[in-house]
Amino acid sequence: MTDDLITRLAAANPVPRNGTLHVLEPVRMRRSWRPVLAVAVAVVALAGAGVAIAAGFGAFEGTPAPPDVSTSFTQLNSMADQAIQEGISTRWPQADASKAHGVIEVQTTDGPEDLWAAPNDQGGQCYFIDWANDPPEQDGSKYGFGGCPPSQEPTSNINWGDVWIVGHPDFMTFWGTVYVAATTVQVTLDDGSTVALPVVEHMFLASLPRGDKVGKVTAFDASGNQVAESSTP
Amino acid sequence: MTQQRFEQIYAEHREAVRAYVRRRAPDVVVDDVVSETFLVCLRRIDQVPLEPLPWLYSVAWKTLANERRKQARVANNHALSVAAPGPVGDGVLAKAFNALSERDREVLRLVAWEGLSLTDAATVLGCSGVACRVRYHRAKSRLASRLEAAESIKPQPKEVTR
Repeated sequence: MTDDLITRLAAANPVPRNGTLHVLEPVRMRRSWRPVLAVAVAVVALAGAGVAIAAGFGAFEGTPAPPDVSTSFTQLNSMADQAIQEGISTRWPQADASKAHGVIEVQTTDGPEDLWAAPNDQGGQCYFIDWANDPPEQDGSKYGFGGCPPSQEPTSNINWGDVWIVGHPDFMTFWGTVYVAATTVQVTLDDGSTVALPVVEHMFLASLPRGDKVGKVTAFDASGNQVAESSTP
Repeated sequence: MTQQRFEQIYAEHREAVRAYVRRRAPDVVVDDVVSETFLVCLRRIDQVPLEPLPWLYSVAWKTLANERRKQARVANNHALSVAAPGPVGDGVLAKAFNALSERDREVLRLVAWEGLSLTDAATVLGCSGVACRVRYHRAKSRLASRLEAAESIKPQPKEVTR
């Protein structure tokens, strides 16, 4: 009786597995995933700085972006267009590359890792992260990644992400955005250890040893009060 | 390698994840939930198991839960739960199914609609295989009871007094 029941329930599937709504479309390989990936990573979170935390970040903040970084923001806008066309997103802000500026720089054994930001047309900021000593690409941009955090704050008031890139395999870039007024975030790793990071222009950055896994991010205001918290989904 | 793996997962499972979300949420939020699910996949690509689909369903489920909380907070309503699709083409079954708890409905959906084994359903639900099996059989039993009760109600002949 009950197996018949499951069969009956399966027949009432509102989106049948073998029906037109669920038929696999012919797999259409993307022309290139690189730009989409770069932008996709971006939406997950925002900026960051490594375990060698933000030494001298105050001096770096506001530094006008060099041409290769500005070009990267321009490319980010093109990637956003592509992401929309590819159906990855329905809305994506456009950055004003002419106003790109430094936010946080962290020192690592691979040289400085930099977080840059540029205002966008939706009232927020787009960002780009690169390694200062990496040479420019042939097209005049910089190898790195970036994107535009969602303008609508998440329930936790914090967005964050982590990624490593081929050129710097020993490090995991950890970055994020806090949507409320905060001066620091405390990053709790899965092994229970913690790292404190400054928040600049609502963003934070760290270069963690690759393999570290972040379990929780907690933001604090200038008085030390907890103002937001986000755990691994 | 990371890029290739993500591309493969996306190509192979995008439609399955999309269908999963469509079975549980109104169309207006489907694209956002699917996008967010694959963004989490991308971010945590080194943690995605070899058989990624149950894991993707689990992420989509949590993303949907977040979306519901956001909707409830913003609009102070239950638009998502009201609009979530139920069984189609079988009114009696739909009524009995919709009367179950969400906990019961979800395990039944995973088996009947996603076609998952109970082992994979346990991965999605974040419980042990044994717990999932118990949950599944109880849910099935409750649905059977409700259905039996509904179908036993037949029109009674009117009493005629002469």
